[in-house]
Amino acid sequence: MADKRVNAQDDRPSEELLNAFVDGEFSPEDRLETLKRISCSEHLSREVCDMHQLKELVNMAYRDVRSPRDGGRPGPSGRRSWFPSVAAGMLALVLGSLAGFELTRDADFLAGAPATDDAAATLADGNGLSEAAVSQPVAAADADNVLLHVNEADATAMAELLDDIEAMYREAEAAGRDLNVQVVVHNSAMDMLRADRAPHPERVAALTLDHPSLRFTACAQTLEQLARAEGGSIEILPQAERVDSGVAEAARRQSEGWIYIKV
Amino acid sequence: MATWFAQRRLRQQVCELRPQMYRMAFAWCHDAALADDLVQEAMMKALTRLKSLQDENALKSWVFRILTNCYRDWGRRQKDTVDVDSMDLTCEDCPERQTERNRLISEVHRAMAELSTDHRQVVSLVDLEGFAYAEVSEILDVPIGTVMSRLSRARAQLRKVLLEQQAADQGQTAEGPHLQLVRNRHG
Repeated sequence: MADKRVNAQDDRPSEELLNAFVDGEFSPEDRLETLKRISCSEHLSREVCDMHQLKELVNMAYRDVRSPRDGGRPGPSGRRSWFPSVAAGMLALVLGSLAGFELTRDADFLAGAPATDDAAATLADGNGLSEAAVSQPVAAADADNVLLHVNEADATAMAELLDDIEAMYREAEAAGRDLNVQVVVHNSAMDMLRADRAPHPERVAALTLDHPSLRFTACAQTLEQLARAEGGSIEILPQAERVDSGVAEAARRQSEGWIYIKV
Repeated sequence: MATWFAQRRLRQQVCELRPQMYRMAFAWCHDAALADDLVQEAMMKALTRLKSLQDENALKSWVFRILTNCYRDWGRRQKDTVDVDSMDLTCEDCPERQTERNRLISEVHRAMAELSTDHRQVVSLVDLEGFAYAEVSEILDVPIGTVMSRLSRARAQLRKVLLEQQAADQGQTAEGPHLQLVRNRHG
């Protein structure tokens, strides 16, 4: 930039370079030299002062501009956008089903605030669970809270899931972060937690022993359906807990800001 | 799983850029709902393409480049031009509308709205977000010399428009223009 510093005709910095000077684009040496030149010219000094003033004016004019969803005033346009809510929902679906994690956190931020009721409602409405979802406050704090939602899994997939849980705890430990994991099991994945059919009961026991913040939860509705179909009560592993509804539990955790992973 | 935490951190950083993105989008289009849409679209693209980000340190300029492309795409979709005079640049009904500060803000918004899109983008990227010229060059995908010349012309035009507005106001208010020190050498 130094080679373009001086306009050959009148030995004054060009307009572009004065702007660059005002914007702090010069190296310290160039800046010092330009400052000397400016200080020798009242005209240049005032021009640079004007540029600073204009720059500050532009900045001031947009400093307080905030999105209505960030708590700013409603925009001047009367058009109420449908796109953001749809986009947030789409993003939630895409991230939830393809990437498989961070759905809730992203949707919350997209909605403009951490884990707002709006975001919870958007997510919950899609599942018809708005009441359950909205009723819960934000719970995510410094710890990583991960919900693993399992409604279909064979023995191999279950083993892989347990591997993943182990890996997550290893990474969290290495990163020095707390980690809470809840596995919500329902529908045809229930074998995972059934006392009589669980393919890896010893691993479930070992994992819950090693990681007290790990919970395995079984959908009570699924258990009741199975009990009716099979004619008798269904026992689950001693490390597992019953929750009223697996889907409702998943929605509730999402509304609390938990990272949702559909397995 | 290896980059799980890194991805999560980046996602969070993208989300934290939302207010700045909105301010930038609003400065470009002066339409609150459109700015919201653009930011939403840009964030959705950024979050779903995060793995394509080469350099984590360039996250901010990468996100603003996506926003720029969203705005550009929107512009291409528009068949009609927007009449600046028909735009609501500030709220018309709030009491503080009459304050001096709001008058200034309104004037700057109007002056900015009169700039070409290219000029408005450069000014706002430099003045609102403080991007370096090299970053603006990357965001807008133009040479750095173009950034400098656009910025220079944009500011010259801003000065001109603001002075004209204030000259028009002089007859209506007892107070003199705010940019008394600003001279217009270009017109």
